Amino acid sequence: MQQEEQLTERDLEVRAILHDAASPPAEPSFRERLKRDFAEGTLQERAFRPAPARRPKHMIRWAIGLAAAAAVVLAIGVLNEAPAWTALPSAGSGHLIVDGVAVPVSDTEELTRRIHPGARVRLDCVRDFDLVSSGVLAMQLSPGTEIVMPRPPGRWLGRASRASVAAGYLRLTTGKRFHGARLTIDAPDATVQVTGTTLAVIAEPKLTCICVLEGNVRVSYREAEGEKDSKEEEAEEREAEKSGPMVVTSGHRCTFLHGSAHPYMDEIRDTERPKLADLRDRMRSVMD
Amino acid sequence: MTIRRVLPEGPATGSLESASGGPTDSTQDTPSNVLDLEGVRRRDPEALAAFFERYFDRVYGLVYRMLGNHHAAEDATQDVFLKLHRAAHTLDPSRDPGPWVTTIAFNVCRDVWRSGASKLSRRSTPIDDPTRGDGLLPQSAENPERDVLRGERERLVQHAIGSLKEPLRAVIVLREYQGLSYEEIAELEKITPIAARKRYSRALAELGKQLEGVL
Repeated sequence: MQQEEQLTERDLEVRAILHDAASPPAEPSFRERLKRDFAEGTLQERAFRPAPARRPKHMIRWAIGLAAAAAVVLAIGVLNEAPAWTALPSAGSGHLIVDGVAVPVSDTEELTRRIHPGARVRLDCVRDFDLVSSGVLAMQLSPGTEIVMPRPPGRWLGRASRASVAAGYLRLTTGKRFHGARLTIDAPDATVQVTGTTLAVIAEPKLTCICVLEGNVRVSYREAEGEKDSKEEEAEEREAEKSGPMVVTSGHRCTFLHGSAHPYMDEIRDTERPKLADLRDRMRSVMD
Repeated sequence: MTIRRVLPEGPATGSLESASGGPTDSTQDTPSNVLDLEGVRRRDPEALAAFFERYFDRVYGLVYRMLGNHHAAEDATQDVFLKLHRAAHTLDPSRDPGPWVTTIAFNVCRDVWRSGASKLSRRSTPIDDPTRGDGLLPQSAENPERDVLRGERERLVQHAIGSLKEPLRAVIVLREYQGLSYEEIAELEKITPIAARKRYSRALAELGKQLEGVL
């Protein structure tokens, strides 16, 4: 046999020993009794029964592997999660309307519980209101501001997030954990891409203004919803799209007049600069 | 209609020739190797008795080698023949029943391995087990010294086989004492023939270490 040819001399010696050793015979009485019972069909079952078959080892390995993978995924999911939005105490009186429910701005606990990514929030108060996702993002809403809350970008996964400003002033500053993430803010006339900076997005009835205190943001024209375009406007938009997003650098603002795809650039508003600087400085302790 | 099948004797333990291949076709139609398989199917007592005579040694040899002591081997052999009796009507008279018997015996051994009783028995040695070398070895009047030596060797061999892990032990017993090919072992063990061959090779190597003093 070809298979046997591969055996070593020692293997052959072992085989010879195995075959030299004859099995001791069964007890003759046992043999006779068993033969009689077998022939007559009177055999009895053994005293002990085999235990149920174990699950094959490879199935156990698979189950352990899957459980480990699930645990890793769960751990990554938990560690990846950015801190939830927290409402900071406000001195003013009034309400924050979260998904249509008015909650007093003084009730930060209830606000923190209700505010979630994707929630539509409107500030009905005479003072500014701060929200923070510790180390990632801090936002300030001015009275009358209405926004859709972004999801704070995750540590490794889900690094892109989106928010929208329907009306009012939204100021925001990014923290260390935001580094490498991207937040897109849709305003009535512009789309702003934030990759780490301190800025304000101002949505007024006749214009959208983006004021950048630090860093750079990319801004592109955004057609207002439900707006009918004339041919001229369409051509304008196409031209604007061709030119791509504009970069607004530190200390500047970019203003889109309502319905126009051509913004104008200027120095940051004097009234905005101290407010943005104040937000950045106040949040530094929780953002760094 | 009665179908009579000419069958070879079960492999005689102790000869390399018998271990080198499975059952072979026999052209010698002697009364001793004709089995009334239709009778076995009908559970005819005479046919069953002849069937028992044909396969008892083969079954007992297999389960003894696999389980390592006579008590377990007797229990398992009884279980094997009970299963054979119950399944007799499924026997195909046109085929050699040898592989069928071996499969049932092997599965019974595996069930015993999995049972709590087997795990318990592995931790202790039965006091009346002849393999312990306590004077209960088969003796012949002609050469008692040779019998003692043979018994001692048998004890060492069985101890070495029993010390193998079950998958390795199964391959050694099936190959060396039942004469199965790697393909047949692979089918029984639900592994590939290559894996069966590797296990066999590993088992021989481990036995070589265990039997160092005998080699």
